[in-house]
Amino acid sequence: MNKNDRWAYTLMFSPGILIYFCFLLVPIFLLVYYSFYNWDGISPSYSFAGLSNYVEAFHDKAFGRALFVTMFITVVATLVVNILGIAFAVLLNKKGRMTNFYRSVFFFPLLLSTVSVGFIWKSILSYNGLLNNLIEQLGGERIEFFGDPNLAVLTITFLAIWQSTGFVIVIYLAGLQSIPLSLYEAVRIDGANRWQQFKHITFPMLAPAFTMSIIFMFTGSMREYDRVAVLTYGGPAGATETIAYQVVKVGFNANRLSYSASLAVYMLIIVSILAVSLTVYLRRREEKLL
Amino acid sequence: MRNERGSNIRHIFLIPLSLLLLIPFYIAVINAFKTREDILANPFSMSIGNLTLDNFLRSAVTPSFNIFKAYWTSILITSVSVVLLILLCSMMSFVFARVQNRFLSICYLLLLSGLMIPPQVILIPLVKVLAKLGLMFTPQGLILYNIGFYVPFTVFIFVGFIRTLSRELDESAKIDGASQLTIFWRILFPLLRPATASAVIFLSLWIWNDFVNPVIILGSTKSYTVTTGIFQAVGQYSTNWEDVFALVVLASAPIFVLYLFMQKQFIAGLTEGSLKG
Repeated sequence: MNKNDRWAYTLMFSPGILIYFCFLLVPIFLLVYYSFYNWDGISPSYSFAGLSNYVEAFHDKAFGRALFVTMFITVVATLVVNILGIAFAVLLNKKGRMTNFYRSVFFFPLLLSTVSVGFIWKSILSYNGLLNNLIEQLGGERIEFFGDPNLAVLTITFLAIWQSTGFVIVIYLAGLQSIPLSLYEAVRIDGANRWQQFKHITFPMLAPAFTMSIIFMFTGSMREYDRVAVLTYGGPAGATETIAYQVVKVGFNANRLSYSASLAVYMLIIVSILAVSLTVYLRRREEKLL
Repeated sequence: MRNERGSNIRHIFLIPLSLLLLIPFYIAVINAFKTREDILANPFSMSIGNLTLDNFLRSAVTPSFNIFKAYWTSILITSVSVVLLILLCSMMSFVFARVQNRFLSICYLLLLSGLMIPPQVILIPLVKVLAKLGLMFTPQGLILYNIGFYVPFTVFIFVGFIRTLSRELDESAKIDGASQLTIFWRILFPLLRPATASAVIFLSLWIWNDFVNPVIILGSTKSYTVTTGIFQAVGQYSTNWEDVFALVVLASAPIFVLYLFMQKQFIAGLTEGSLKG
């Protein structure tokens, strides 16, 4: 590498890495630093607190519940979306004008902001919403989709599933269309039925799409924030708070910056460990299958 | 090849799913043009004679919210962030793909670890950084944050793509005496188009639809994007569904129009980009 090359490379490389450093890595270091102090975010003085924030967070019932709600939404939404995604992609896997139409329709919900979509659903499902008005007109009793703690979590999970299923179908469809037809012909000669074809060819060959869809759903659900903010504000009585919602709420509204930093560090550790092990597992699975 | 009967049965599953996905949008659009009495009386149908634009006229511009200001802020923040991300990250990725040394490997590992950081985690310390730099409550602050946050994803897409391009391309240009910068912009960058298209679509959607970051970084009163703007505007009159519908339609219209004209590019960009990544 000559001197000119070195200059050119430095010039091309530095601005991006500098911005990444200042606005992503520095905040992470600051986050860890804050979590060991007792700072409300405003006053000029603060003192070292050791691990006390972490100990408090560990015994914090609200944080435990938020972690449970987040894991519930993540596991249920990831599983349901992927099962529906594969099933509908297999149904859809045919060339033709209707296929293109379905694909365009399925794709659409994901393009809009969770906030806009959340407001539409809020107007339909809330206590004074359109669906409940209809139920009452028909002589039924209004349903507390967002007012009942358990039902509210289920409703948010349903909406997460509703908004992502179409996108995942299209991902699996792209995966299906890359499977060579000759593979099917080979096993059909051996007399394999539809289910056996799916089990031995379709599902294993979908491994890259499977990895992508699982990771997409997992990372998205673990940082669930927008729906909670739009639909329930974390209520009733904190029942729908996710960890992402709680980190922001405690940090900005309750003025306990250092404590919120320790919650954020917990969140970072949990998300990283799960995401890394999930990715490693799914990649190994791909290598084995393909 | 599957038989004809099988292909017709699939519509029995696919049509209900399509309806389930479309009905909420149908409800939002038709009710945005109806009076409140009309919405409450028959929420799922519309009669042409009773349609009104009042909901839009009333809620698009109010003393505290102006949809045109929101459009402008969102367009500005999205376009500047995406253009800068593409420029900076494509160059960075060229260096990552073409030069190997320990410093770059460490940087690449640091970048990849940024892929899984949830945005809410860094918001609190980020606010302190932006405040120190005098960038809190400014579009510049949000743009710099967007760039920092999406560098990992964008580099990830570009590096994967550049590695598939032959080195002979740059080496033959090198013999002609071109500098690395010229080689990249003249020869490689045009070849990156599929990766660029994917990255542009992903980044534009994410940044345009982003909620938590603009709410915190821009604040809520002085400056707002489409997403944070309608969140504030709806918050004030939470059960006036006719205004909510009008605002949601106004907020979603730009994306809907773009999607109508560029469906193929959207679907190809988002699916191929994700499968290769």
